[in-house]
Formats: sequence, C-alpha cells, structure tokens
Amino acid sequence: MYRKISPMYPNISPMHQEFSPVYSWRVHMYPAFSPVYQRRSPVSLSISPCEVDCGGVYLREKPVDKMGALWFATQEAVKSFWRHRFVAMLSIITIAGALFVLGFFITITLNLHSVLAGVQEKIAVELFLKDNITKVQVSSLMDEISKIEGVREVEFITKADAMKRFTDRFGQKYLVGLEENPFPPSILVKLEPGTKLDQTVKSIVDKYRGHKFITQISAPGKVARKLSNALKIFLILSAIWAVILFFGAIIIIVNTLKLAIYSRKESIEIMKLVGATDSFIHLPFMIEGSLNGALAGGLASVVLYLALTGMKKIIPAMQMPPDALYYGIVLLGIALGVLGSRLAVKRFL
Amino acid sequence: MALVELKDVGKVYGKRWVALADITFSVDEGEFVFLVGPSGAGKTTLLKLLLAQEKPDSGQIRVAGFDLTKIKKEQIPLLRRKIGAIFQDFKLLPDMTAWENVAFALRVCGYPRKLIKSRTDELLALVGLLHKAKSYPNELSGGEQQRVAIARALVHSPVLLLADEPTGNLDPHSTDEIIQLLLDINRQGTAVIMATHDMEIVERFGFRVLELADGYLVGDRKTNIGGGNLS
Repeated sequence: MYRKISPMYPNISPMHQEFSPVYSWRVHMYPAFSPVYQRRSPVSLSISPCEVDCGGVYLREKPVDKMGALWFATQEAVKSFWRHRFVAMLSIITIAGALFVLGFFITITLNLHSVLAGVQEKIAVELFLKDNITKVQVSSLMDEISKIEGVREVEFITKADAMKRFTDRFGQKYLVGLEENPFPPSILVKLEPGTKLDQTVKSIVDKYRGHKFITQISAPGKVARKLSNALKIFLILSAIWAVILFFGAIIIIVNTLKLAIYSRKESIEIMKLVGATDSFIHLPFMIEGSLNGALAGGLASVVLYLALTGMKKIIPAMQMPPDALYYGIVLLGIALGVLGSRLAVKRFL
Repeated sequence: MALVELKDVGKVYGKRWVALADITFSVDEGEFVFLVGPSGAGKTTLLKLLLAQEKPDSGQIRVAGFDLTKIKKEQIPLLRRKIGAIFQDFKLLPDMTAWENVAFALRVCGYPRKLIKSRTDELLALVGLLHKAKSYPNELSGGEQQRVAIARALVHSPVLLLADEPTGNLDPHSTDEIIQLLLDINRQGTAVIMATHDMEIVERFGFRVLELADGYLVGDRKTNIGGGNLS
C-alpha cells in the first residue's frame, strides 16, 4: 500500500521504476562542509539477495546546499539565543561592561598622554659652557648632542641671549653695578616627550658631567621626570586590564554556550547519528557566540560614546578618542565571541 | 566482501568491566540478523561500535568499507550516512512534527530544500504515515513513533540498518507492524541487525541469530529458515 510513489528522479530508467519500489536507488551524498567530500569512497553497492534487484542507481549530483546550511545554522542560532535570552542578556551586559571599562581606560591613557606631552615639551636640559669656548667647538658639541636618541631640538644660547632671558623675566634691578655679563653661554637641549624621557635625561647628564667645556648641567627635577613613569604605569595597567577582560569575557561566553549546547543535547545526538558533519553541528553555536560578542561590543561602544560625550561637556579640554576605538570595541567583541564559541564547542561537543 | 566484519573485538569500560570480548562474526549485504542476549550482555555496546560511537579496545571492525579501528573523525559522518539506526526510545525530537523530524535529518546533512521535501514525503509514505505528517511525537502511538524513526533512519538509503530493541516499548500488534516493516526494508536490499531480548519474535521469524552472553558471542545459528512470515 505504501509503494505507490511517483519516481523522484527523472534520470532513473523506466525499467527501474517498474521493478523496484522506493529503494531502487542509492543516493550518493556528500556532507555539506566536510573536507573529505571530494574523496569518493566507493560505495559497496548491495546486490540484493531478495527477489528485487536493487540495481543501485547512483545520483551523481552533489546535493550540497551551502546557503541552506548557513541559513539553517543562523535560524538555529537565533532560536537558541532567544530561548536563553535572559542568560544571553546577562552575559552581554557583563562583557559590554568589561569592554566599556577598557575603552574608558584607553581614553584616559590617551588624555594623560597628551597632558604629559604638553608638560614634557617644556622640560629641557641646559648645559652651561665655559666662557672661552669657540664657535667651532660649540657647533661640534651641538652636533654630537643632537644625535642622542630622544633629543628633539638643540639651541645655542649666547652670553647676550642669557642676559636677555634673565632681564626679560626679572628686570634690570638685580644687574645694577655689575661691570660685565655674568651669564655663561649654554646649550639648551629640548627633549622628545614620551616614556623614554627619563632615560634620555640620564644619558645626557652621564655623558657630559665633567666635560672639559661644560661647567654645570641643569636637568629637570625628579617630579617632572617621574611623570613619564606615571604614563608607563597607566599603559601597563591598561594592558593588564585588557588581558583580564579577555579571559573573563571568554569564560562568560563559554558558559553561556554550554547552556545552549546542553539544552540541545538531543538534537545534537540525532544530528551526529544521521551523519551531519562536525562543522555543520558547530556552526549554529559559532554564530550564537559571535552574536553575543557583537551585541556586547555594540552596547559597549554606544554607552562609551554617550559617556564620553557627557564628560566632554563637563571637561571641555578633554580629548575624544578616535572613531576607530568604537569600531575596535565591536570587533573585539566579535573576536571574543568567535573564540569563546570555538572553545565551548571543543569542550562540550 | 562482507558488509560488516568483526574480528576478535573487545571493549572494556573503565579498567575492569569487560563489555565485549573476542567477538568475531560477519554480516553480508542484505542479511537479516537478530542479536539476542539478556540485558547487559553487550548488545548495545556492539551496536555502538558499529556506529563508531565507541572505539573498540582490541580487534578489528570493518563496516561498509570503513575500518572503524582507524577511522578518522571527519569520516564518521560518511559512515553514518550508510547506516541507519533506530532505538527503543525512538529518539524523536518532541518539538518537531513527524515530517520535520524526518526532514531534520536531511537538513542537517545539507540537502537542498527541494530534495528534502520530496524525499521526506516519500519516506513517510513508505512507513505509511503520510497522513500523520503534521502530528507531534506525543500525538502518535509508540508504533507510529517508531515508524517515524525508521523513516528518519532511511533518509540516506542506508546499506545497513541497526535496530536496538526497536520493539521494547511496543504492544504486540505494533511489534508485528514494525518487524514487518523491517522485513520489507530488508527485502529491498538493506541489511538489518536487530538487537532484542524477545525470544518469541526470534523464534517466530527465524533468520540468523547471534547470541551474546556476558560479552561473549555464544551462538551463531540459523533458525527456521524459510519462515519469517506473519500470518
């Protein structure tokens, strides 16, 4: 009674249709994503011992529907995401929080950097020279100094310049009664701002202390120099935070997906049983993980933007981060999602 | 070459519990084999080995051209597309209709939509359940559920059908129906290995019987050849 079925494939010969029921052909299938599908393993075709010769009509077409597979995986991912929307929301908010703090840290570091750069630009080392130094000696000394790493600018200050500098600042009254210019000529070394400033100062002082033309060196005070260390500490803190965030977020995503995987244990079991490839089974979870990450990144970006715009109104001098930071946070979120889902799939499937 | 070949196969769970030992037999294409033995004799373990759900600890297994002792992970799906499997508890997904349950097996193997539709209709018709295509498993009787499971197991036109106590949860009438269906399938060229502890069925239908006890193969006999008809 259940054999009156129209033939499914036009390329099956009428003879086969006549003699053999539904089982007259073997569909030769290739898994959707399997790397091995080009290697055709010869199917040992059964010549039936029973009265009907099953023949074995191969269907050479490859029913690999990649778009269909992707569509299936996306549907499954969204369905599962919706089923666990509260857990997903929790994980998204947590990860978004972490990403937000990271973005905030980066903005603070950026601002600190620009403030420090402003301060450091004013920091200079001044080398006071002997009065009897010749112009040639000065210029060779300047050449030498400007070659030191971290030196931005070298300027020669003559005795007259030094005097002018003093009078500009303090007026003439202190110089009354002096017969000759008491100020020595000097070389003013301006430095490149940055974390290496401290080192540059040290190397200049070490090199020229006790030099035959140099009487005295005036280097910036300790506090000014330590500013560069503050920047360094901030950079390190940001990096440590980024690392902690990275692992934390991955653990959160792995656990969210663990729940998704467990709630679909039955269907995964059946998928394996009927010969779905591993990549096909994994794909929905990868998509779900990336979805979690992308939403967390997006949320963090939006909140960060709003928070910084609000702060800018209170502190107008604040420097805003480049737009790339917002995109970067979204991308980082997606990357976390993909990585987390890979780990989850590896561990629980 | 035989479809299924086992040679000195052993499987040990943990360190001490010997599930199977020294199992040697082969099954030809198109054969119908009963696998009998009391609970815990190793029937399910044996079927798991054939499905590559477990690896043997010793011996050699060849199924449908695959060497299961050396099979690579990415080849297991290919093997399973040549083997259908049904179980005592049917393993149907409760939130899908009968039609969707069968179509699911085709979908997850990446078949195109058109093919899925025609093939699913065809398989449901084969097991005589096209009129219940839209019913959910909890709306179907045990026998009907098992028939849906059989339709699903046949999606790839397997060369071998493994049945693990398929009638364990069924009333006598449904049992007969299911066995008749398995016989039909077998008659069309698919080898069937059916595990059961219902000796009455075995006696009634004949065919080859492999008997397991405490992990050992203690009997391989043919009973009542020429029988096997329900009347």
